[in-house]
Amino acid sequence: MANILLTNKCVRECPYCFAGQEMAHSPASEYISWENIIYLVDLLQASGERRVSLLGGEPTLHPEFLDILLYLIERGFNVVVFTCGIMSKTKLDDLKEHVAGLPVAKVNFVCNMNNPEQTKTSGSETEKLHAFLSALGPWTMPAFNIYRPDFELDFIFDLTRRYRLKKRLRLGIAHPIPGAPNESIRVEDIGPVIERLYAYKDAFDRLRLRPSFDCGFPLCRVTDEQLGWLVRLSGQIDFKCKPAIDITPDMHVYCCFPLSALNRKSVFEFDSFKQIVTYYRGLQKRIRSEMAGIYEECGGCHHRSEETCAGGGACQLVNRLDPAKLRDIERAHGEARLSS
Amino acid sequence: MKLVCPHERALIDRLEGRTVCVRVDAARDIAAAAADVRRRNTLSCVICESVPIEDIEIEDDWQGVPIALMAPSVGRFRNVAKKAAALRKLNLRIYLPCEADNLTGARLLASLGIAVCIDFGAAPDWEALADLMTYALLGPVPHAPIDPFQTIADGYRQAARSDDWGRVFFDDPSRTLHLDAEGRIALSRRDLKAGDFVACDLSKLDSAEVKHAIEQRLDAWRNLFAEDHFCARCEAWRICRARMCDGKAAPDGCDAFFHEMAEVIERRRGKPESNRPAEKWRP
Repeated sequence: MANILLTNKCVRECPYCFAGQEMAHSPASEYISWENIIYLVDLLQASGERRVSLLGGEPTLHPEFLDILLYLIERGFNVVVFTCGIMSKTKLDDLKEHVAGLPVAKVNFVCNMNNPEQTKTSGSETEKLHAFLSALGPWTMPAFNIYRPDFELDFIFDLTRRYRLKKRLRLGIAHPIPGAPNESIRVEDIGPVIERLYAYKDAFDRLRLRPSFDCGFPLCRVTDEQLGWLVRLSGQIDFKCKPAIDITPDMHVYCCFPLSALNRKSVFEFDSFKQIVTYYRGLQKRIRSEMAGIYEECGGCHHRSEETCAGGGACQLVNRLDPAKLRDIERAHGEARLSS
Repeated sequence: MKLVCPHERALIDRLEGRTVCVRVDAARDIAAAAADVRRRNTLSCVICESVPIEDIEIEDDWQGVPIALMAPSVGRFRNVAKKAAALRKLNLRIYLPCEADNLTGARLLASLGIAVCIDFGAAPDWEALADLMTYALLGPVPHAPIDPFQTIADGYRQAARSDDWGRVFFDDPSRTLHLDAEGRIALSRRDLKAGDFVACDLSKLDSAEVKHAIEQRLDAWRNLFAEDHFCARCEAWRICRARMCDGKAAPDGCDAFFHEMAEVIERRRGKPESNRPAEKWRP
């Protein structure tokens, strides 16, 4: 699934933000154009894609966000919107009016929420988030980025119950962005993070709230007992790391935010979306051929070789690679021919 | 020969047995105008001066009526989205003036399966128009026809004279004549607006003088060559047919645009015909 970045602007300053560096290097005034939206939708449709994600920055800041959302739905796409839910009353009223008649499967707001007791959050921010959830709760999936080992999730359970949010919680580990000062989870803290998550088992079970993992969780740090619980509750748990395919408002494309500086290209260099995915899979493969995973033991791990676990996020590997080696990878991949 | 006339029932009745495009000033008159023509004539289409597409109120009895909707703009998509499915079902082509937002709007509507046509006007933004033309002819996924590009490409002949695409705008006197409410006859929309009539009575419709005027207009291109006009030396002549110059100076940029279009049409030949949605009426 492609991620289309509608704008580089954002209304929040999350300490763990993995898009911060990318946004800092892009003009804040830039919004994606309609021509580019239509081009991308055609590209995706021609490749048989039926799902697309809208990101930013904060995608709802695009002046025509609602129009773009409705256009994608009209073109037959299921749309995921990654939002913080902070928007003006007028914008929220418009959104509510148009989304209220849509099936919940057509549009999914993944609302990234910070714990106001652990992350600096203004009163008006909280107020706006609650207004958003109150208006669009049934279309909204809660999401939480873990950036400190002592994270607390009680507020998520409360909001999920109160606003009848979708019963799936998207959990991400904040990874270190190469060269950026974002707060993140150290590799050695991933095990304790999973332990802490498991401590919330009863709350998850009571609410039937199913956790799902974003990329970078290693399978080996989950015990059999924890895995059994996760699979029973969620049905399926993923320990992979795949190219996100982020497309910027000016039509650049890269593997994912943390790898945005590596082999960044123009969308127009590719003939199909499949070709883009293949290209960035190749990049990840090159990275992993230099370093199998985030732990020493990843090299000989059968989960790694059987691809049931990616061995952590590629961005974590990039952080550990020698910069000269990284440049070699980028150069070698840049010279690789695009597959047709 | 099609006759474009206003929605005047008495006039329409006098045209009994002919093929008629009837003009109305408001969308609410579309169904009534179509019914009035169909009583004694063959309806080619209803030409309607419209409000922006976002404001248009679609009526059930437009089903089965070929409609040319002359809209000033598309409007915000959030308002158009509610009507997209209904618009798609109609036998409709939306005409838009060549303005930046409308070029985007045309692409957007076509991508949703709604046939559109851009009226170039006198001084279009050729670069933006070229982008739309490329999308219209080489777009990677099926979309509705975007005219006049589609008509030009369909009528393009490599080794012979290409078809005159003026018919898209009802401006081809070999196929279409224009009448005012009094039955006076003009060769084009522009002539009609300017009050430039070739005959002042409907009874002259099949007369030798009207036929002569038509032939003269159709042969006017020869003057460009006789006078060594810029257009007569332009490589893109085979496509544009000097429709942009109006016998005077050609607007800046038109030669590059039509030249590019010829290249795009050649590239298009090598591609399988894109799987276009159901064909709408054609002018």
